[in-house]
Amino acid sequence: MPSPQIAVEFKDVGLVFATDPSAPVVALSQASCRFAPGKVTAIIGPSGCGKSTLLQIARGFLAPTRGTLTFRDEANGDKPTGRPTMATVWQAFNLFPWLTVLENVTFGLELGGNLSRSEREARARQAIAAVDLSGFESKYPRQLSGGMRQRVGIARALVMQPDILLLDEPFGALDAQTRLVLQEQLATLVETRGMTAILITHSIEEAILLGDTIIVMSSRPGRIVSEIKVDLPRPRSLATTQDPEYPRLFDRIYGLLRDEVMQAITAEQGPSA
Amino acid sequence: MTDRPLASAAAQAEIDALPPERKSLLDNPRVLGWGSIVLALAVWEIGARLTGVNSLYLPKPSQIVLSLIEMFRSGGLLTDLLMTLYRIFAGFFIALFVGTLLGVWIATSKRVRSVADMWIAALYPLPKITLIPLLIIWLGTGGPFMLTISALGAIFPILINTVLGVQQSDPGLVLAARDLGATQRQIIRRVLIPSAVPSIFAGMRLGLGVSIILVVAAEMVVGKTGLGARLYLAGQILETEQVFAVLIVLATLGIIVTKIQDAIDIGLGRWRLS
Repeated sequence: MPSPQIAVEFKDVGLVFATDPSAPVVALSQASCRFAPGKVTAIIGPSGCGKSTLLQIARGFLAPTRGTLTFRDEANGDKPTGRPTMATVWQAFNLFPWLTVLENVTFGLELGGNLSRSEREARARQAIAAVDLSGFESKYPRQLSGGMRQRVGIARALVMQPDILLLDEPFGALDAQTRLVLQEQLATLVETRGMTAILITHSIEEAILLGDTIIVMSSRPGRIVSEIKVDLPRPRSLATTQDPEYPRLFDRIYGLLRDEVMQAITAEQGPSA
Repeated sequence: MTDRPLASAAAQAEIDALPPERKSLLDNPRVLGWGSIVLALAVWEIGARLTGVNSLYLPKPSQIVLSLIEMFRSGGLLTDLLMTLYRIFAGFFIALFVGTLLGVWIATSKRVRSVADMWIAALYPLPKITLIPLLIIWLGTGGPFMLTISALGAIFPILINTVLGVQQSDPGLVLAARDLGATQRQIIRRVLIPSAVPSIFAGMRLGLGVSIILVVAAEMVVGKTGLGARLYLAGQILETEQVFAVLIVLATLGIIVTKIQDAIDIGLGRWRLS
């Protein structure tokens, strides 16, 4: 089982893409934050503000050009530790279309080569059942709806038993109804497993429903504007939106975001607009 | 809660209640395809009989069939067919192995691609048939020459399609594989090559066609055995029925190869068609 004790700490982390040296792009600017173990941290901000960049730096796919990224073991006096295991759920699902649901979910386990076929399949079937897809193991992704595909994506990440689950706008490509259902399902999974998760989202509702902490980012160059604790009781569901605290939180986040989004739009239109 | 991709029972009942669609034989592509061939042969046979055209120029289909049977029974046509098939497929499989391997290497290494681009640009447009004289000087006219000309015909379409297929792989899938812990070698084997299979298969189709053309052409130029050699010999001695008989064998070979490729394509692409 994953250890929920590893915290991820960003200290003044920045990233500049200098593919064209005459026009470097600042993707992330001096981000400092801590992703607490056993908690869900949602990151919200305007398009292009560097949310996914932050996630990719945490995952190790991008190296920061300044600042430090440290993993700390809270069970061991908050000492620095090695990179914890992570698995990502992607907005575009990124399922292998030539593999069945079961083969997609066992893919990562097979790469490691540590488990027998029967062990891999047993674990995969458990993960598939956890996302309510039992009976669809032999289907190809093309035969599934968008919501079902994303549940395969979630199962594929969960089966790896990661220390940290990374959710990169996991419901961004889904219709509104499917999104609501999957948000509730994911909230249940996260609550029952007590997992550490970093969620990138454009949806304030999703951030409040799933997050213990919400980080609001500025428009490009992305920096952290505010860190908001979500004290709404769990388990959370659509009914959580009826809690008196919900609209207060929503308005606060919207107020922060609105200014940033307006700045992003103005920047996109250029100085002549 | 489960999303159901299938129609509900009520919707299915409505679909079942629709009147059956009236289908004519002409809607069946197989009937149309084979029917057109049978019709053309019948028109040919009747036309040849009615006009009394000299069979030296245009023999009747019935004469060609008799000649074909005779060539199979006593004339060694089967041996020639098997020899030609061996030359085509041995060369083709060498091209498949080398072309796929090189294609993946070129697609995944910038440096290799920089070198290979120039060579491919220079060699691909060259009509391979023009290499026959040079290959004869280097290899003689035996087996190595035939395999080389067959492999040369197939390798470029396979290689180029492999490069394109790998380069056009979804980067999201590569990222997902990396996220799940795949090494570079595992990404190539488990993601890039499967992604490129439809493109590689398209290259195999083109390549096999070119291999067939080149092997038959090479047999016509230098061969003592094989369908090309037999075709050339029959033409030299004005045995028009035999010329047509060999052409029919080649055309039938083309149909069979195409159908086998279709079947393999469907088998490999179940995930695309489902």
